[in-house]
Amino acid sequence: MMQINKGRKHRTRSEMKQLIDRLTYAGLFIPALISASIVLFIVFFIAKQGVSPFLPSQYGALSVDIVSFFTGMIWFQTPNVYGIFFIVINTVYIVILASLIAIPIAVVSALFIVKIAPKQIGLVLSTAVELLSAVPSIVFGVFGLGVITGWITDIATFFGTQTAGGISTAATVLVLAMMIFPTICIMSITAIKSVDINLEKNSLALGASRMQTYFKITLSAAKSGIFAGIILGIGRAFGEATAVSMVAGNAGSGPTFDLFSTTRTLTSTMLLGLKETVGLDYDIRFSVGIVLIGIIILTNLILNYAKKQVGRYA
Amino acid sequence: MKKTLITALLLSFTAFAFLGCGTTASTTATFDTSKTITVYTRDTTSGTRDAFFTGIAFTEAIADNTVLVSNYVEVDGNGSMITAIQNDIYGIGYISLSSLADSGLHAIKFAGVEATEANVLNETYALMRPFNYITRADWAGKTTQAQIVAAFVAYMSTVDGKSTIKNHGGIVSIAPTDPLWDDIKSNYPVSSQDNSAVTVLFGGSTSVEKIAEALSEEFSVKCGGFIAEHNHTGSGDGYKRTQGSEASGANAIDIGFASRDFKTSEAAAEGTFGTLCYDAVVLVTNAANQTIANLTAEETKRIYQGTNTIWKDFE
Repeated sequence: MMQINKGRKHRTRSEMKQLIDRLTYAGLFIPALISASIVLFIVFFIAKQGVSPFLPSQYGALSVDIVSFFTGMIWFQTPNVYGIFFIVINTVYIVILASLIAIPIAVVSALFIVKIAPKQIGLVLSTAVELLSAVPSIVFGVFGLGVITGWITDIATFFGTQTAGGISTAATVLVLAMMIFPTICIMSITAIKSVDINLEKNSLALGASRMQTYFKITLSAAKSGIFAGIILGIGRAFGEATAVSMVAGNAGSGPTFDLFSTTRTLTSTMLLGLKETVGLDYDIRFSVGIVLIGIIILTNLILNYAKKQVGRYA
Repeated sequence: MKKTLITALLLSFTAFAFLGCGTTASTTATFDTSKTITVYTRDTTSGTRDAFFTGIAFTEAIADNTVLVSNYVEVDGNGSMITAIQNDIYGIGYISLSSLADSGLHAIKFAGVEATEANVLNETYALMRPFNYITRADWAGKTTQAQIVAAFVAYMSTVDGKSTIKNHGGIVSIAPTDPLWDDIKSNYPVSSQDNSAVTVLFGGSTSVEKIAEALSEEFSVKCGGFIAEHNHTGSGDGYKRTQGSEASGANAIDIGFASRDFKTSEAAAEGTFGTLCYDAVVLVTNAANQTIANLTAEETKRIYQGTNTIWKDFE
C-alpha cells in the first residue's frame, strides 16, 4: 500500500510537475487577464467622462441633448448643440474608400512578394513595406499636406473643379490608404507564406494554371491571416487622427460625398482644438471617443462574421 | 526573367521619385478672378482666432463656425495655415505677425495700416492683442516664491528679458533707457541665493506659453536655479488661478498669463498685473495672388460671412 507523503519533507517528482504546471498556468493567465482589463479600464475611463455632457447634474441647462447629438448634421452651435451623425457617415465613407484602394493592392503585393518575385527582390520589397509601416503618422500628415494635396489640385483643375488647395476627402482617402497598406501587406505575407505547399502542388498537378492556383487556392487558404490584417488595417484607418486632421479640412456640417470638398472625421473632431479647450467642449470629445470605440467594435464583429462566411480550406 | 524584373522595379522607383519631386504649389496658373474665395480659419479654441474675430468686430464667429461661409477650411496651427495657403492661390487666411516674415505669403493691410511691428507698438494697427501677466496678491507662506516672481517681473522689462520675448515672437520695443539685468539684480537679493529647492508655478494662456517657458528657463539660471513648472490651460485661468476662484486651491499658480486684456470681472489687485508684449494677426493670401492690398474690418467680415464670395468683388 502506498504511504501518504505527509510526513516527508520533499515532494515527489509528479507533485513537482503538477506544481510547475499550476504556476505556469497562473503565469500565463495573469498577464492575459491584465491586458484584457487594461482595455476595459480605458473604455470605462472614457465612458465616465464621455457621459458627463449629457447629464443635467453635471452641466445643468448647458447639457447636451443626446438625441440631437446622435442625429445632428452640424458639429457645433453655441452654446451646447453638438451633432455627430454626419461625422459618422463621413468616417465610414472615407474608411470604405481607403480600404477599397488599399486591400486589393496590399494582397496582390503580398502574393507577388511571396510567390512570384525572386528571393532577393522579395526581401527588398518586404523590407520596404516594413519600413513604411514604421513611419509615424505625423510624417504621413506632412507628406499629405505637401505632396498629395498638390496631386489633388492638379486632378481637380483637370476636371475643372476648385479645391481648397487640395485639402479634401480625396486627399484623406489617399493618405489613409497609404497608412493601412503596410499593415495589411505584412500580415498577408505571413499568411501566404504559411500556406501548405502541397495544396498548391495538388492544384497544379490537376491542371490549373499558376495564376488560378494563386488566386483560388493560396489566397483562400491564407484567408484567416489576410482577414486579421484587414481588421488591423481598418482599425488603424478608423483611429488615425494626426494625419487626417491635417488634410481633411474639418468642414462643420453635412455629410460630404464629393471627393473634392473638405470633410471631417471622428478622430479629427477629437483632435482639433484639444489642447486649449476646457469644460463641455473637452468632455464632448470623450463622447465622440465612445462612439468611435463602438463603431470599431461593430466593424470587427462584421468582419469576423464575413470571415466565417468565406469558405475554409484545409 | 530576373533581370527584366529588376530593371522594371528600378525604373518604377525612379519614376516615382521624379513624380514626388516634380509637384509644387500651382504658381504657374494664371489667377482667375471669377473663382471662389476659399476662407481659412483656425480652430475655435485658438487665441489667434479670438484676436482676429474680435479685431474685425465679428465676435459671433469666435467660437461658432456656423456663421461662417459654408466652404471654410479649419486648420490647427500657424504652420498648417501657412502651408495650406501656400498650396492654394484662391485662399485667404490669418497668421500671427511673427511668422509672416518666413512664410512667403502676401500680407494685406488692415484699414489702410500695414502690419509691421512699429505700427503695432504705436497702436495704429488694429488686429493686435496684448500678452498680459498677473501675479498672486496673497503670498501666504510663499515668501521666496513672491520674491522670485517680483524679480521675474522686473526681468521682463530688462534688455535681456525683452530680447528673449522678441526672439520668441513677441512684439516689444527695446528702449535705450531699459536696464540690463546685471544692473538691477542687486535690488533682488533672492537672485543670489540658492533656490534649487523652490518651485514657481506658471500658467494661463497657451499662446504665451512659448515665451513664458523661454523666459523662465533663462531667468532660472540667473536666479539661483529655481524650478519653473508650467501648466498652461487658457487665458481664463490666468486670473482665476492667481487671484480668482482657484487661487487657494490645488490648481493655484504663482504667475499667470493671458493673451487678452483682463475683463472687468477679473479685478486684479493694484501692481500685480501688466503687459509684457504684443501679438498681431495679419491677413494673408498666396504670394501669386496680389488682388487685394487693403481690407477694412467690414470687408473682411463680409468675406468670412460669405456675403462676398468671389475674388472679382475685390478687384
